Amino acid sequence: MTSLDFGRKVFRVGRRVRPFLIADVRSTVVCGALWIAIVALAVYSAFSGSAQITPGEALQALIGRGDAYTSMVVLEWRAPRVLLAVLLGASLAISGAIFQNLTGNPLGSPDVIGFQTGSYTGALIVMLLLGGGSAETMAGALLGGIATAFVVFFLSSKRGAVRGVRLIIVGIGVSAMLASMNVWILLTATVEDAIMASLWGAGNPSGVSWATLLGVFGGSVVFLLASLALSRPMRLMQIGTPFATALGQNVRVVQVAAIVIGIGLTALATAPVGPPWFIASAAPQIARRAVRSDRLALGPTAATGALLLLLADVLAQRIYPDSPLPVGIVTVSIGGLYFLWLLLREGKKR
Amino acid sequence: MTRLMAEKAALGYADKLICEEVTVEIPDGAFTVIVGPNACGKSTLLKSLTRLLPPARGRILLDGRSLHGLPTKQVAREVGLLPQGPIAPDGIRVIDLVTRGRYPRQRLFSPWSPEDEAAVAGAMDATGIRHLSGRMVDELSGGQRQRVWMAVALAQQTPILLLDEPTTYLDVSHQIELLELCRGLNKVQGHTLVAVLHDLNQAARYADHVIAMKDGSIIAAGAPHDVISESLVASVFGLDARVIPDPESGSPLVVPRWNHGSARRDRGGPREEIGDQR
Repeated sequence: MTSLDFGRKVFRVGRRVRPFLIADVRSTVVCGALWIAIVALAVYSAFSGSAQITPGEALQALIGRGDAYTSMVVLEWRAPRVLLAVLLGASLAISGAIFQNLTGNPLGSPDVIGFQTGSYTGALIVMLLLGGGSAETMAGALLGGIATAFVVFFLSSKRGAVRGVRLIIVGIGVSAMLASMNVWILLTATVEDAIMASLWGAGNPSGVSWATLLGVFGGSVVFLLASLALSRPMRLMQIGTPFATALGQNVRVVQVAAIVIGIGLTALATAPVGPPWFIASAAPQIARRAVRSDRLALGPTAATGALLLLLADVLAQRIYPDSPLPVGIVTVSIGGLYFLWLLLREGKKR
Repeated sequence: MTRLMAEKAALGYADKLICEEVTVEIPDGAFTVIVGPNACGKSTLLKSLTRLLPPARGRILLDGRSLHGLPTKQVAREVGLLPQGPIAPDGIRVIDLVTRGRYPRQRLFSPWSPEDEAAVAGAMDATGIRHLSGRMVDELSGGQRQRVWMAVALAQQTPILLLDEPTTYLDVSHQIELLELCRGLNKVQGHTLVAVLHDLNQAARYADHVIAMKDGSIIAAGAPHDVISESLVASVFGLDARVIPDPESGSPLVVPRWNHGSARRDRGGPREEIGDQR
């Protein structure tokens, strides 16, 4: 048996010589720590809030022995909101990792290249021009995001091949156009409607129900599992199309699959509560540096996204308990600050 | 009939054909070198011999079957390619990059086998990078990096290996090192090798079989002694040169003509050692 130097600590899951998985110690520890933090924050979020409920009462409600009011607050209001934040955070982060990997550029993430702006446009058209309710708004946002993605890919592809920088530039352009269209739609509305719509545009998970959560959950889990299966082919694509092709990869098929999964995840994560900006671009970069891995570390990325969005939601509800902020405002602040710090740190290294 | 061949293949891109009609057989178990001036279609031919570039007309055959009709991973277990300018992902380690060469032999739920381990170790030993295994690829020198890429292609363990200008960007000692490695792979391990090289003298020394191309067509193919001649160098490269036996290897050595008198005299060398040329 030869012994190989992996340059880091690894352990094998399964049989020693033919393991099921070779895992990184650092990555596993980081993932574990993140999930502990997520659970702790989720419990804190479910057990505290503006309603006067003690942790004891909340626990009673969780195990099904609470009174009607406590049960409603904890089980119907807080629990789905917490779970939704975790699910959407993970979905957005994975979607960001997929697009950043595809474009080979941290700027190539769905929030930068216009997909979330497109979702907002779809939602605005339904809310303000067609007068639809929340279910219709979700559908509009879903369609808006997917349609925008198609337009961006169509405009940026050349002979059927998608190129990173071109995609980013086209995406930023489309995003800017849609943003001004969003402003124009908002200006046509009455003040009350415009405020409601703006609130959606900043990402507002209050009033999320189990029905919404379950609807999103089904789709997101399918896409998340698919992205897991696609992670090795996507890693291979990092070494360039020629080499990946020579190594037996059908690059076009992997690209299309990655695009479909990435768009699906972003659209699903944006539709229910509006766009939580910046999670998709920041989480993969934070995770990658935390585990010191090459570009695609899906496990830590999902955990980072989930923690970021949950943290943002907890903060948004508690900064001004009387008028909670939209979560999108907080994600931009947290994600943006951390991103800025990372960029400055990278800049210093060079 | 050899394992890998092109049959009346038209090669190029959607709007521009580079090779109108190429028929070529890659001799099994030999070290073939393709030479020719820039933009003569060398790389295009090499790309078409993997799945990178499907022919517009004609066929590329692997064991008598159309290469582009075979399952991609099956082709990748038979024919490997070291392309020009591969990209090393940020923050990747040598071992992780070399392991990617195992892709065509790995399955989703069995990502690592003793064969993988042996192949990765073997590829790193053959290229002399075993001691760099745990290092970051970004930290390596150009020569070391090219050896890492070579190891990726070797880890693929294909009986046929194509190399697109593997010596470009290497200094001369690393060039020779890489060619010696190729020679060993061919002579000792029996791999069929095909390389695009710029240096005619290196081609003449190391190749068993030389293919000379110009303007998308094959001008000559055969043993270096038969192919590399003064007239071929003149017609393919437009270069006026003498071809003399290489004092070391006996292979043809291309020496471009010098029309300016003695070099040493012009550069102020000791005059008394040189007879008057004029």
